[in-house]
Amino acid sequence: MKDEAVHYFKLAIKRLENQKLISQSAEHNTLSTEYKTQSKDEMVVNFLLELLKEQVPHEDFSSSTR
Amino acid sequence: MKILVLQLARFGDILITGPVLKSLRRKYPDARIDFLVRSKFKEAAGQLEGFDRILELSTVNLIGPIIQEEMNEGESIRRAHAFVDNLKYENYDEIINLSFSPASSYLMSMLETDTVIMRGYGRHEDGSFKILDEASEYFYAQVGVGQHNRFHLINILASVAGVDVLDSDLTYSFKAQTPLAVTPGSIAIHIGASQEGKRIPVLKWISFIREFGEIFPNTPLILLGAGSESEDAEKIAGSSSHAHLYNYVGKTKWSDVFGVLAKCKMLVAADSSLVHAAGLVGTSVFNISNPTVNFWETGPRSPGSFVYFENDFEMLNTRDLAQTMTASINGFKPANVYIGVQGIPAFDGPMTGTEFQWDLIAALYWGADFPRVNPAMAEAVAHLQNLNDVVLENLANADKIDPKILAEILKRADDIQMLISQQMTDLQPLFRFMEVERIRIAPGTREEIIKSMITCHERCAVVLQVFLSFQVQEQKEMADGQL
Repeated sequence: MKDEAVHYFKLAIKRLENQKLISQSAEHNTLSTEYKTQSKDEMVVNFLLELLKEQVPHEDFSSSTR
Repeated sequence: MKILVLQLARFGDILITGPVLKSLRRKYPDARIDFLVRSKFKEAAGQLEGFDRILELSTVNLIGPIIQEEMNEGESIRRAHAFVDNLKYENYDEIINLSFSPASSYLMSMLETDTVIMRGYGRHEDGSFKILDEASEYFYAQVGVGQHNRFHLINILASVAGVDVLDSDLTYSFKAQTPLAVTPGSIAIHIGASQEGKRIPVLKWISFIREFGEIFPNTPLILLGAGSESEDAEKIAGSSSHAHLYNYVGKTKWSDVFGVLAKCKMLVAADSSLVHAAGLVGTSVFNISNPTVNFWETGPRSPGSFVYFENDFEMLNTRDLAQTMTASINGFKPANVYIGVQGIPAFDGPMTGTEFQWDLIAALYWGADFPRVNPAMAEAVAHLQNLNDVVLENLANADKIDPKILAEILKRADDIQMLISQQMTDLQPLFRFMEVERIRIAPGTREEIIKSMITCHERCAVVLQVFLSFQVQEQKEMADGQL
């Protein structure tokens, strides 16, 4: 991927991550966070974020799945 | 009945899904089966059987508005909603996600309804990771490089889909056609691979073709590959004096690739997607593998296939490779290859260093006897059991404990378990099993989560108890002189 394209992908990822309105309560099974349902928009934003991250495969994006 | 199968991964995974689609069609001959793939891989998916309609996920369309100077994330969100709504409109009875990716898990969560049967990876309503079936739990815990699974991925995908793959599902009955000239008995060579670590250096291919040509000067060789591999192919073809070398790299459609492979005697490749294409047309494969891949999970399944393993492709001995391949073509089983067989694993050869872990997996997942462990491991398992008991005791008294203190106790227990797992790497399948037990806990009220956690730790308690009881039993039998 060209440097310019990578730059735009990274910018888009950062912008979408800032848009995530809530933090996922992925650690609910340790009782350390509150449970909150995600809205449809939040699910869609997460979906788009993951699609974006796939385009920059060599970056170290943490993820809760393999 | 309407079924949607999601395969949002790349070429190899799409082709590996082929036998699963065929099995699904056999199980549900009258169902409407839709197959969702990325637009980029639609043509490859179109070569498969067992579905009625291909649906496309266009990544470019969805994320296009965000990856430009004037970012328009609102438009991307609108398009994603429209894409999801179109799928929901179909009212599928069953949705099977064979992708194992974060993106696909979010898509699944948006397609979930009260009535649809969901399989694969998904998301809870709070966005946390959710595993929808036992085969996917097994995949998450035990499959991949560094893990100790021995099932082939085709069989695992079939389990996720709830079907059994028969040998007849591995090969397609269609007659692949191509206008390209292919002499029957040719050898196809795929020079590329999807990842850098799986690629054989160009100079090694040049050397291999020279060595092979000295043994079989009249056997036609056909180079196959994608357009991005054309430059390497030209170097290889330009350096070869083989009289019958044909370079088709970058000049084929997927239908041509299947057609060429169907006419060839064998494919030589390095864990690439064409290994699976050859499998579907029943052409044997001489697969050259290295440690970046678990070949027993994704290797060739067509009859007469072999795997030649080399730790470092830079050290590939091309003379030995050519001689070994010659022996396999002539019907011998060379000593230094793994041969495809019917069984688990799907290859016959030494699986060094994994016997104990595989036995442990067998005990954890389908009730085989637990393997014998050394005293240090037995002590570690006993520590885990004590730790699990402490957690259970605190959870049982959760209503009497300050929530912050309880959360701290659970965190400490996690930390200790992590320390034990770092010391006892041979017990990795057990730790992975217990981790997935935890992931199964769904979000909910505090009371609901505590109830689920108690169930989870009770299940772990049973497993640990059985594990330890096997050790005690073995010690007793040893003392009695029976072992």
